[in-house]
Amino acid sequence: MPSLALLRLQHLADSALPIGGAAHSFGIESLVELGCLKTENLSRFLQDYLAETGRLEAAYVAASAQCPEFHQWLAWNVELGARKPARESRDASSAMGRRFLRLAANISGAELLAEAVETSSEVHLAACFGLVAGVLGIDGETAAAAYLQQSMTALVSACQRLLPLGQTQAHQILWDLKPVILTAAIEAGLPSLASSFTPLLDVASARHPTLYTRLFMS
Amino acid sequence: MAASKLHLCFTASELGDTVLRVREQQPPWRVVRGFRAASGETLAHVHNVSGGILDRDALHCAIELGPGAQAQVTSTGATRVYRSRSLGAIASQHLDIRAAAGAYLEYLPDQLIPFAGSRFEQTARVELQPGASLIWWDRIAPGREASGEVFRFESLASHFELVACGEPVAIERWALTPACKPIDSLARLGSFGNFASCYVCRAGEPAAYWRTLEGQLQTIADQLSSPEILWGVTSLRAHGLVIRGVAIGGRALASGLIEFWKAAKWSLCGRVATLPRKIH
Repeated sequence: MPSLALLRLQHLADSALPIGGAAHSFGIESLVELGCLKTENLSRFLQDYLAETGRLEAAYVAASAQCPEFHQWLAWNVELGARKPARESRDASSAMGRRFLRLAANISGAELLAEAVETSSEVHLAACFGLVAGVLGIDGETAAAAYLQQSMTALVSACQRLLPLGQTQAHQILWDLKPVILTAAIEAGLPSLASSFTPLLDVASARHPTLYTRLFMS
Repeated sequence: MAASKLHLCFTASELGDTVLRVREQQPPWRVVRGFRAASGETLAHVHNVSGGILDRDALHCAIELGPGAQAQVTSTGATRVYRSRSLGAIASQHLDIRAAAGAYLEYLPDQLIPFAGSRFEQTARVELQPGASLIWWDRIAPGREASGEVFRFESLASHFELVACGEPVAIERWALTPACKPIDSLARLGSFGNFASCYVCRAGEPAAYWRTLEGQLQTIADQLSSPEILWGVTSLRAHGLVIRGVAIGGRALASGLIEFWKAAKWSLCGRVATLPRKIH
């Protein structure tokens, strides 16, 4: 049975939402430039990305969707910022989070979101997405799965601009990722206990500002 | 082996030097007395007399720096984590560092080598009061590479938390189980088996300072990077930056860290970095 909340979630989880997602690769552009990431290993890379970064972010989405105290939500945002070492990727997450929050607050008219928009504290997309989902009445696991779906769609779209990757192949990769997305969403634990190990991607993100030519801001 | 503790306190004297007091020292910990390094800090070598971390070891180390104290802490050699013999046993090491206002700490241990069949978790929490400075590095090998033993440990977990002026600046939490999760995935280490991090911080220093230093250190990173080793430098959310490196071989990481340390130390306090004396 379709619900209004689910329709709204689909709306907000669209990777074409105007929050700047198309401008960021979160270090992937550097991995391509280094010659590490290729079309043939992209699917494997994204699966493992979901097992690391995906699970970390899913933990913050799911926790934020469970209507926490506002000060706790703000603390999670700061914590998530501390867990993102690469400046460009962290700034991208923060800028997208603020735009997402503002858009959701404006179109939904929800008081809690309006209050969140007013905060001068650092916010991040994963926590903002979770907060909005919670306000819509969406449970944590569903919210986390939707967030990861959005995130994967944006990354695959970035890869289409960086690699020889056709439409059908891109959608095959996204289709095949669905069970991995679900696992990451279901197994997301407490934010403070979430584990993530991505040193090569961290180095690639850190090196991104010095690339000779860049398609993306991160 | 039961839990064993080491508690070191560095305090600045009226004469301007820093005095080391060993508040607690239980085997296998052993600290080689503090003496003045050429660059002015009080240098302490921390030694594990058992030669490495065993089975059920639970090692705790606390390091406190009083206001204005300057210290350099290093190890006498690589930290070897031996094969876990007892069923389900996980050896652990916990480090708790507090640096008061104006203190300066360099924490520069040798690499961690997890042997085949080992299970180990390390936690570290560093707290910097306003004006306190830190240069911290850690380097992790995939195993005894010379023997062809690469990623054959059972589990290796780490939790690192850096707090400055009361706010979290950097948090790392990761767990590696090579049998379950391929470490050579591009999303993790790719073809690089060794990795290292170096945190450079001063609590209260503005973001503009770190962006400038990031640029300077990234120039070094570019010079040191090659197909066998990659370095990246990036500002943290506040109060510092992190240098991260991945490499096929561990030696290039060690020499690279020294170059970053020299440049970061000069920028932080205008002093020349001098390698601690060690007998290998």
